[in-house]
Amino acid sequence: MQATRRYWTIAGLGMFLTGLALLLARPFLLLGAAGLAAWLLTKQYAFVRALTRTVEDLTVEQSVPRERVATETETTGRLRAELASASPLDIIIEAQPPVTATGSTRANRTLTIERGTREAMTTVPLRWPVAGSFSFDRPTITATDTDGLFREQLVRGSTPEVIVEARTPSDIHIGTGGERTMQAYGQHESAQRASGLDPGELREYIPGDAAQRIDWKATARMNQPYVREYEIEIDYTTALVFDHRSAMGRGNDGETKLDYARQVALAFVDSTREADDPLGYYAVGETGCTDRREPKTSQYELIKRRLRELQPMNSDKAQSRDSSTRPSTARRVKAQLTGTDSFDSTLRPYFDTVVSHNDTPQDNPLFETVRNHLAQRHNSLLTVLFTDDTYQAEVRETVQIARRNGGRVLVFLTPSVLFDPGGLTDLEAAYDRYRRFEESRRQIDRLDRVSAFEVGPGDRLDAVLSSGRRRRSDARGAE
Amino acid sequence: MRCFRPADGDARTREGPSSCSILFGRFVEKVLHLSLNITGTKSRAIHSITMATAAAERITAPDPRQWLAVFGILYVTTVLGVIKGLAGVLVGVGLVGVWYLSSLVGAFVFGNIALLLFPDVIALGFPFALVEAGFGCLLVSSASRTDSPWRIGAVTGGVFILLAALIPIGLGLFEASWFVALCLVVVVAVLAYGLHRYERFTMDLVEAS
Repeated sequence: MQATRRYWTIAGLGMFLTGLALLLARPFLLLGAAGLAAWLLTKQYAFVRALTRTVEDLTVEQSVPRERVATETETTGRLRAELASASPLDIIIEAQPPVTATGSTRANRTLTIERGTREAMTTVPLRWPVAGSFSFDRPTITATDTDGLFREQLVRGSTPEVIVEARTPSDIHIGTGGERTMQAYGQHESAQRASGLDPGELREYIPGDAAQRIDWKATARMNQPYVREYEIEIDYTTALVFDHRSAMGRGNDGETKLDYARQVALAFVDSTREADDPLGYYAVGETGCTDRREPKTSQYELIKRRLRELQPMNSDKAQSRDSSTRPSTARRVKAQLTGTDSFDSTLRPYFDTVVSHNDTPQDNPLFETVRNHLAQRHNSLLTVLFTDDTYQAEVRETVQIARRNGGRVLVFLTPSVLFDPGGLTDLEAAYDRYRRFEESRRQIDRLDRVSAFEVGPGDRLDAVLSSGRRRRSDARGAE
Repeated sequence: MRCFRPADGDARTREGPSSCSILFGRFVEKVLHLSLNITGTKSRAIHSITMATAAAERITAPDPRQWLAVFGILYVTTVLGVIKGLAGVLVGVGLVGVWYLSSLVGAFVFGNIALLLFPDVIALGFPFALVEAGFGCLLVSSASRTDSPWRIGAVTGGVFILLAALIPIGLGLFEASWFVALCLVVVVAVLAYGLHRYERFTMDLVEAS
């Protein structure tokens, strides 16, 4: 209970009368002080009594229309209070949304129950910029008596929870040439048959088979020796290589190339966990490998968390690369140095030493990451690559080196044409760009032990393909 | 004249002319001085109390239903008028004015201080008790604004009588008025703190140690 300034003013008057009684030697003034004290004590007792009854009768409820919302959405919370019987106190109730929720002011979070009224309600506008799980604090109730002498603050009421989920891409298309592909991931069966762990099919005994492989139960049933073959379950070591360079940040908020690739990668991690395969993780940025986890079976959740936290790298870092040091620039210059004059003959030896692949990771970070960390591994390595079509030559080189030593490669490519922020304003030009992307994807897909898929928004891809079909039909009609 | 606005901390705000109450206090002081030739000390005391009352945060206009307060003021005015004549009536008028401009509490304080002007009334004993009973009505009448006016009024009257009884008993036992005053302050403080702790316990605001 807090005493207000009015209380202390009146208490001060009482002390003044007491002092005056002593100063003027008039003890009767102590009666005045006693009267004021009695009045204050009675008011305090009345406040306590009214407050107890009010709190017993009061029901305060905070609620939200949906328990799950997406980030940056606006919702309307509700604050409602009801009294079983009217209270002699003035009651002010303030909703307590989570700190991360914005959009509300103190005025619209506050509810007042006037003396004599029994219920009140208000709506609270809320906006959720941050993803996560949040709960409301209990509402704050401030009760004040009619004379303005005492005030009490309590917390009562419900504490609803809200789960704010990050915006994720919808209508994710995974396919080849516009056709959606269904992929099932599960236990891998090797093409080899040997005396392994899981029982396979029965066959008749042939001379040369080891005696311990004879299935005696089947032999007893069939009256001649039978041998059971076993299937070996091989654990594929999987390496997830995720490109998060600045080009992957292209697209609308929450629907960038990286967002789409991330959703597929997360699903892939879940599939790998079901197969209980060792999984490694390599994030590639502008400057090279930015995050690395060697393949293990116990880090699926960690990798998923790293994927969720991944953001496209700053495009300034991409632009800071000096184009004059690129090998393509060097080769172009070398091609021009064909003359016999002293200028060309002096410079040509320097450009003769250009190697086909750059030595600096900054130029081909994806390639360098795979080469340095994965290329030397055993043939049971499955490399899963998530990137886009910005650096097509580098992707081809990376796939080549990844499938060395018998490894398999899965490539998920996000076509840039489907992620232009302005939308598909020129569908015909977009279709041409998509065709070039599809050509590049097929080149990669034709390689042995390599599968390449396109990943992007299905609705946009349909619009682009429709434009292509219309163009073809118009061309046939013109013929 | 500008209106006085209560400071922060009060749920309700009421308006009233504080400068009016100050001017009225000065007017009352002048009238008393002219009619009674009172000393400078007493006039300054009345003036300062009037200002302090007017400076109270909450200024309440008289409620026509507060019959007990009206009765109390009329009663006091009648008793003082019978005993002291015009001066007594003027004190009654002053009570009304302070009540209108400030509050019943202010009127109660004003009335007690105004008794300084009538030491013979105090000395008489019984008339003094009659006047104090009238002042007590002002305090009890404020209970009419609660949800249980009879209960709260009875509690107010009972606590007033109990505390008032302590004064003559204390003076009879100890003879030192400063000690009696100190005991009164301590008793009131203990009672107030006890109510405060009881409220915190009831509202479950007491932290477990």
